[in-house]
Parts: sequence; structure tokens; C-alpha cells
Amino acid sequence: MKYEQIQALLDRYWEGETSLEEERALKAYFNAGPIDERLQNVAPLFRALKEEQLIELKTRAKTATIRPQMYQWAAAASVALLLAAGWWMWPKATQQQMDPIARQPVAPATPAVPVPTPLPQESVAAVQPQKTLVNKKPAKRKPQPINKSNEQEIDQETAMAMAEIKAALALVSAKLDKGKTQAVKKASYLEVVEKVPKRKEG
Amino acid sequence: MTRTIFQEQVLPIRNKLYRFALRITGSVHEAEDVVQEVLEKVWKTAPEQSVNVQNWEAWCMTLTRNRSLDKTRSQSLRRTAPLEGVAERSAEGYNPAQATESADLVHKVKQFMQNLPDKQRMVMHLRDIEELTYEEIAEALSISMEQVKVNLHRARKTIREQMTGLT
Repeated sequence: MKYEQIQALLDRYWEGETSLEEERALKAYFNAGPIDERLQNVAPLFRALKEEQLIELKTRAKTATIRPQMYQWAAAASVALLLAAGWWMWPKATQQQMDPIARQPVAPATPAVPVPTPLPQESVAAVQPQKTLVNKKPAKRKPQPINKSNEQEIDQETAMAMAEIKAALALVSAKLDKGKTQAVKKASYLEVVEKVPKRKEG
Repeated sequence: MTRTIFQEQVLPIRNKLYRFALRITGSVHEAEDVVQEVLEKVWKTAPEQSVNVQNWEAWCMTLTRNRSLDKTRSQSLRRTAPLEGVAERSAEGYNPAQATESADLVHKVKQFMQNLPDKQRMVMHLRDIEELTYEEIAEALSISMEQVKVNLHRARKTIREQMTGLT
């Protein structure tokens, strides 16, 4: 198209008098072949319009944004596992350090250590309060005589630790399930474009 | 809403809706949300209501405008950044310095458009990017034809003046 023709169209464009067809012709001119030197200053506008016409909705990109949520839960699960494992290991390590005698097998009693009368299990529980979830730190232990109640206590602690780990894992598992359900829900929601017509067919 | 109408008249314009939402909100994330919400709303339109809709495109545009403005108001989004999402065009026949300068000017023009007052920005977008007729723009924005013409003229005039300042 000649310079004069384009300039005439441009004059009408600025006044808002061009038809859609004429406006398309302007966009085509400024986005195709060589542009007249005298019209170079207007070219950026029609290039900008053309570029913006090419912007498209990217549905695929959106589903990727769900993933970080799953990573959050995975990170939370790892931390919970580490805490649970740490809590389970720590009392044993402390006990080994502070009370080496207690780890020795029950052997013929050393003369220096008096052997008290073994207590029934109920009274052991009453004397040594059980640990609760709130009070996670084991009380500082004094060297204790070797007896069955000591072993029972260790077994009890182990059982409680296991119970706590199980509870933590159950919680993490539930959260992961919940996260997964939400992710799936959101994914299907996001892809309504593809899914809605299919649902109708079904 | 029947499946046929949805597939033939609503789905094909989803990119238009997205660009319009992007123009108003200035945020890719918000614009994606708006399109989803609009498509869902249209899909759930009761049959007795959908009978009254003459022009689905104009109606979808209206829904998109309303939803986008709601989001913009509620979150006080600023729209100073130009729209994202398009790769830089290769400028064949230019040397690199010219190509960079050209891309820079295009970027600035996009900013000028984005900084127009709301109504002018929406009218210019619907006309110059989506190529709607004046009647369709008036219907989509619920304004008169006269208002469409006045706002388009003002918008183009502003852009022209600002572009003159560039050179």
C-alpha cells in the first residue's frame, strides 16, 4: 500500500472514523513488509496491538501451581518424622549416657547395689508418673538399681514413643490425603474448559 | 446452557475473555481466575435464562468486565505494568540495535495503553485488539454508542500524543 493511502487511513484512525476492515489493513501493513520511513513513528502502536492479540490463556501452566502445595505437605511430613524419630531416640541416648548400669543385663546382683523388693507393676506406675505428650523431655534420671521395673519403664517408653510416631504419621497421612484431594479438585476445576463438555456426555 | 452453545460460542472466545480480564486486572493470575469463574457461571446458566441471551460474546465480556473490576477493587491492584505473555517478536531486516529500540518502543506503547483511564482502556482494547463493532462494545460495557466513540477517540488521542513525545 502507498504512503498516501496509509496516511489517509491513519488520519481517520486517530479521529475514530475507520471501519474494522480498515483498521485490520493498518495492522497488516505495520506488521508485514517494509514500512515507509515517514510512518516509522506510528509502527510501535500497531505492533503492540498485534502482539497483544496473540496473548492466549495457558491452562497447562496453571496446574503446575498446585505442586508447591504438595511440596509443603511433604516438607511438613519430613519435619514431623524427624521430630518423632528424635523424640524416640533421645531418651535412650540420654539413658545410656547417664545410667550405664541400667543397660547391663540383669545379672547376679553386685554386692554394692542393694536389691529392693520388686514392686507390682501398678505401684511402679504410681511412683514414676508416665510421660505425657506435653511433657516430652524425660525427667533427669538418678542412677537406679537394676530391677524389672526399670525394664518395664523402658518398654513403656518405647511403646509410647511408637504410639506417638503412629499418631504423627496418621496426622501427616491425613493432611497429605487432604492436600491431594484439594489438588485434584482444583485441577479439575481449572480444566473446566476441557472437562465440562465431557461431563455432559457422560 | 446447552453443550452446543457452550462449545461453539463460549469456549472459542476464552482467549478474548482472558485478554480482557488481563487488560483490566493487569495480573495473569487474577485474569485466569476471572476466566474460570466466568466460564463456570456461563455453564451453570439456567435454560430459561440462557434463552434471553442474544449475544453470548457480549454477555461473557460483560461478566468478565464485572468480575475483573470486582477483583481490581477488592485488591487495589495497580495496572502500571504492561501485559505479559507474549514472546518478543523477531525483527528481521533490522540490526540488533534497531530491533532493541523497536521492541522498547512497543513496550512503551503497551504501557501507555495500560495507563489509560478505565473506560478508555476497555473501549480501546475491545476495538483495537478484539475487533468488536461499536454496537458490541456498547453492549459489553453497558454504555451508549456515543460513549464508545468518545472514549475511543480520547484513548487514541492520548496514545498519539504520548507517542509523539517518544520521538
